[in-house]
Amino acid sequence: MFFTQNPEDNLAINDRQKELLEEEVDETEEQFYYATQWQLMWWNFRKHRLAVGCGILILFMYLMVLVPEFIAPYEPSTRNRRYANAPPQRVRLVSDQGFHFRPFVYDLTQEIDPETLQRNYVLDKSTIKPIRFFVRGVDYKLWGLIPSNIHLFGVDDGMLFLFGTDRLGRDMFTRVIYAARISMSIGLIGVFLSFVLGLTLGGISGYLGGRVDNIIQRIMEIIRSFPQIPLWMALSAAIPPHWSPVRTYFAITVILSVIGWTNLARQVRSKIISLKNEDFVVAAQLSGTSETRIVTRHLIPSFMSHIIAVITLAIPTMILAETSLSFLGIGLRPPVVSWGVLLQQSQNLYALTQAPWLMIPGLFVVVYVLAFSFLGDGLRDAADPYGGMKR
Amino acid sequence: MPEMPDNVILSVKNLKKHFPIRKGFLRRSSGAVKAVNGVDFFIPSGETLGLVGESGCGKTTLGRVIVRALEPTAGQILFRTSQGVIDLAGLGKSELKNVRSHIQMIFQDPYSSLNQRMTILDIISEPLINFGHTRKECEERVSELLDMVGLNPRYMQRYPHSFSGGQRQRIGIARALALNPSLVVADEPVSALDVSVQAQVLNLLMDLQKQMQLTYLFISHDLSVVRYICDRVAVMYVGYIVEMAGTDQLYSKPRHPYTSTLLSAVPEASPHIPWNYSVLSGEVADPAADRQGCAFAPRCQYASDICSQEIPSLHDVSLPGEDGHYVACHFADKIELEGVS
Ligand SMILES: Nc1ncnc2c1ncn2[C@@H]1O[C@H](COP(=O)(O)OP(=O)(O)O)[C@@H](O)[C@H]1O
Ligand SMILES: [Mg+2]
Repeated sequence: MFFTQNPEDNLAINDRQKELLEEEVDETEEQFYYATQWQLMWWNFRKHRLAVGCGILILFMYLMVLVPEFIAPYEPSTRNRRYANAPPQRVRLVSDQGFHFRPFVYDLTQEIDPETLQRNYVLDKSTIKPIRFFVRGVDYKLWGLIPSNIHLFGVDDGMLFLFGTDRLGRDMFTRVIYAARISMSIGLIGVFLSFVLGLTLGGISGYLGGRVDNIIQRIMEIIRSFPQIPLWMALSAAIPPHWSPVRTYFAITVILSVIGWTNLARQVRSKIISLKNEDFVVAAQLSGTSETRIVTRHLIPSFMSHIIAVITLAIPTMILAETSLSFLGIGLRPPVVSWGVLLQQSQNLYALTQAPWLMIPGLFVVVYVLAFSFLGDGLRDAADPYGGMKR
Repeated sequence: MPEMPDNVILSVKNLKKHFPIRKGFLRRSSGAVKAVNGVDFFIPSGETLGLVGESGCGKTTLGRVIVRALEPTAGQILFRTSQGVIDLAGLGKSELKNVRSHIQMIFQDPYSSLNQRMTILDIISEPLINFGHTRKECEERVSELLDMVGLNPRYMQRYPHSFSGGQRQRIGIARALALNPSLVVADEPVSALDVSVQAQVLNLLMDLQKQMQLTYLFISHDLSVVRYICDRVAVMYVGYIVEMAGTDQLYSKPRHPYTSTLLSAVPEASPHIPWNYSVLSGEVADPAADRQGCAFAPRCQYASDICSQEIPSLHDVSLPGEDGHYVACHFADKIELEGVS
């Protein structure tokens, strides 16, 4: 239907020019030839053992904060008078009676040092408290829906403080888990907001160019030229103190992303500008492809993988920002618990010298941030699977 | 309706493309790079016109303006379709889409000209889909096209990364031919390929031309390639055409000093023939500068006063028995120049 000339002519060319392609290829090569960009990326990413490990760790952490009520043995605000500033209890397998198959802890009892009048905790070796899994404990409603009282682990009677307790006798392990929910979600939501802002404004800026680009670029430069910490402080000082914790939480996320989007917008813009001039985009224009189709079929798929890597690397920045704000006392405020809030409470000499376990939340921040950085590095390296392919 | 001779498919008149140079905080325009600065030429239907010139002289820009990937600053691009002659330079977006199927482009870089994230089938069917073909028709047509360019249609579900440079270029050619265009602008289609593959692709282009009655504007800086494939050749220097003639005529009897210098830079194929090359002195003219006279004058050994005062126009200087030899030189009739055999 397409050609006026007889098909024999076509064959004449083919016989002469049919090329190397006929040769046999083995199966892995075959797979490679049909691989989409995501498959190629996955094969590249898989080679980064550290990044894969960090990815799994992060997945695990997020699964955990989906159900903090189940993971944590207690509630974050329950106070235990008898156990203020209790040190972490060691999980043991061997007692005076020998080896136990079930891990256990010894109960703690308080003693007052007659000389210094300091309160000390001593192990009560007569009470072996075996740790049980899926025990019944405080009632809770999972996601506000499913009523339950099963906790991942606990002891039958008495208390279990894996990470010790704070000044008011609240279980640090429970608090760290609940805080993780706030801190880890603020990172995600904040990055999501700046992603939306950055993608839209950076995309418009790069795609339209000209006047619009000029205006958006200047605005971004102005935002970026403010020193960050004072800007955060000013903005969060503007949050009314009577706002509910939830509203404050969202306000803080918005503040963080209002500043964070500029970096992403710049990346999106520069990617779009360079892609717009790639020959394959020009070719698409020349064959009458609509602008919407060019954006959705050519531009977005070409920079998406890169943007995912950039976003992954932006999440730790978000969480560090939240932690710094809360640590300085101008971010989230108790009774909301975030890692920053917990760290703020360990901000005293007593914690440093007598109760170092109060700084465990800091360890979580470090692990979380590092894990995301390694994951992001791996993703960034895998993001352009075609880079080294030119033959 | 604009006029042009019946056998001509494309005629470009005083075409200009200036890129504004923007500076400062407010990105104000200060001057312009005059990449294409008053180009005239025409291509008879079914022929191949070669466009040669040093790198940076504006060949790519000219090609892209003609296919309307770029907006011309001034001038006319007259193009013959079955409905008559239209001026591409004046078309708006929606009118352009209708002529897109008649004019296509083959790109220099076989890597960046294919979207790596799409299968060969999707790449070649994109133009077909834009012009309302169904998925099934596309598949049929793509396998037909792959066959024509010498690739096995069985591999249409593969991605570009499984093909070599030469094979990718064939895919690019298949895409350009999908809509049965009448004019194809090929911007250095073989210069990124190995020499062994170059000949194969050139032969393919020539075969396809015969088969589909294509007209080529063949851009290249390689004079031997141009001589092999082109019926006529236009020589470009800093934004305009200095000489245009039939291939044999231009190579054997150049009439513009610049053409002659270019030709002398091609080494002789035989070691027994002494290689008389003349070296150009001076700098290539700055495309951003305002031009008063002939752009080549500062480097031309024949230049005199008039050359730096008056811009020479491209005019017919054919001798009896020659057809269509155009030169933009004040002294075309007076100087003797050497060509190549
Ligand atoms: N988009 C652009 N913006 C500004 N200048 C350009 C642009 N494209 C090309 N030029 C300039 O136009 C001139 C001609 O370039 P080009 O057409 O690519 O030459 P060629 O293809 O002959 O090597 C060069 O000086 C180049 O720097
Ligand atoms: Mg070029």
